[in-house]
Amino acid sequence: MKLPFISALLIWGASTLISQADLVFEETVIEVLAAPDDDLVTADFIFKNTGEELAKIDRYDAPCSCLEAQISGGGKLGWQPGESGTVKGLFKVGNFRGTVDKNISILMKNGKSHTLTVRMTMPELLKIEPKTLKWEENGEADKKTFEITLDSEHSLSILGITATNAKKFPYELETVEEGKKYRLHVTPTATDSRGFGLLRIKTDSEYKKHQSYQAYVVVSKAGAYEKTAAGASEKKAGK
Amino acid sequence: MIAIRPILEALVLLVLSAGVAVGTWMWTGGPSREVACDPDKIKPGYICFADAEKLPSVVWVDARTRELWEQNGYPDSVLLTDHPSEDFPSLMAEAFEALATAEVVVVYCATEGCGSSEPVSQKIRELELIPEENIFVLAGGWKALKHE
Repeated sequence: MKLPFISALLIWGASTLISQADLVFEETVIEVLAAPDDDLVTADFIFKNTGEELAKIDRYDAPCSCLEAQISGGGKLGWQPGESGTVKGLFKVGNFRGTVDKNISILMKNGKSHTLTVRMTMPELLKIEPKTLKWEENGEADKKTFEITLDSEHSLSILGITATNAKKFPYELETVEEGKKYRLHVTPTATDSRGFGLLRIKTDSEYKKHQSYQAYVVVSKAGAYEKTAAGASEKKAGK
Repeated sequence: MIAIRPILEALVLLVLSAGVAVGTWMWTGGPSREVACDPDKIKPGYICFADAEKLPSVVWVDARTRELWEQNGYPDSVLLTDHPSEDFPSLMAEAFEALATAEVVVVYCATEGCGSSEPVSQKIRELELIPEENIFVLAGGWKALKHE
């Protein structure tokens, strides 16, 4: 009487070991360029069961709550040989400009896993170089300049500038080419004390996410940049 | 007819195993959840918590959601995240003072694969306030943090 029970256990164990059914994805990294006013972008990861047995998804998940995964067929988890389906990634878009990678993990019943990456880029319609103007404490209070370039594909103009510390960091906007290139000059009134400020550049963009851009100014401790590089590197090396 | 005896035997084995497991847990404590970190095996730009702890003037940057940061963010950490629920420029404006005075910045997220630490650390690099080699992503994410 014990034999059938043990036999059943052995057969079940063997079947999980020998199962090679799996899903094959056409792409595991999909790049998406978000439009300036997008709140949601989607990426479709197409897959197929190229094996000879049922391929069963155990679970799927995205570490970021900004990314939701949906499986076609109403969330079907079992895929027969030859069947194709889609994992749709729905990516909520905020106002973080730049490129981010967000992953969806698919774990199969047979222990195999797949990582699907949505590579989303939110472009900048206005570029500021550099991002920060720096002066040293007790150093020269010379004029420094941000170079501002507007995206030519989107008709934009700068409406104005506001600053959080205009008293210490007075500024002047110069138009190099209307609607295309500007220079924002900043000359600190003094560098005898440390301080920082933020300049907000307002645009007439129809897209709320692109109506304001920021640049930064700072008077920092003399030699701070070079000193921290050397000090921290030595610490890391255990010196 | 259903074979009763094998089922009873399986149940007895299950109860005995569970008892031994609970006893072991109570005797030795739970499994170690410490995230192992080998500095020689982590990606460039990443740092183990044990090494980050030793560095001077570290500003810890929490790239998770505000809710998690308020709940259990590293002491004195600043919130700077790409999560769509937050206005990134506003967060950067709030974090700027701390970043401007930092010697080292370490960015962490919920897990190493969350996808937020790297873009956030890139935005910090673009400010050019701190040398690139002093901006790190914490290997293992928030789980690798040890709280006092």
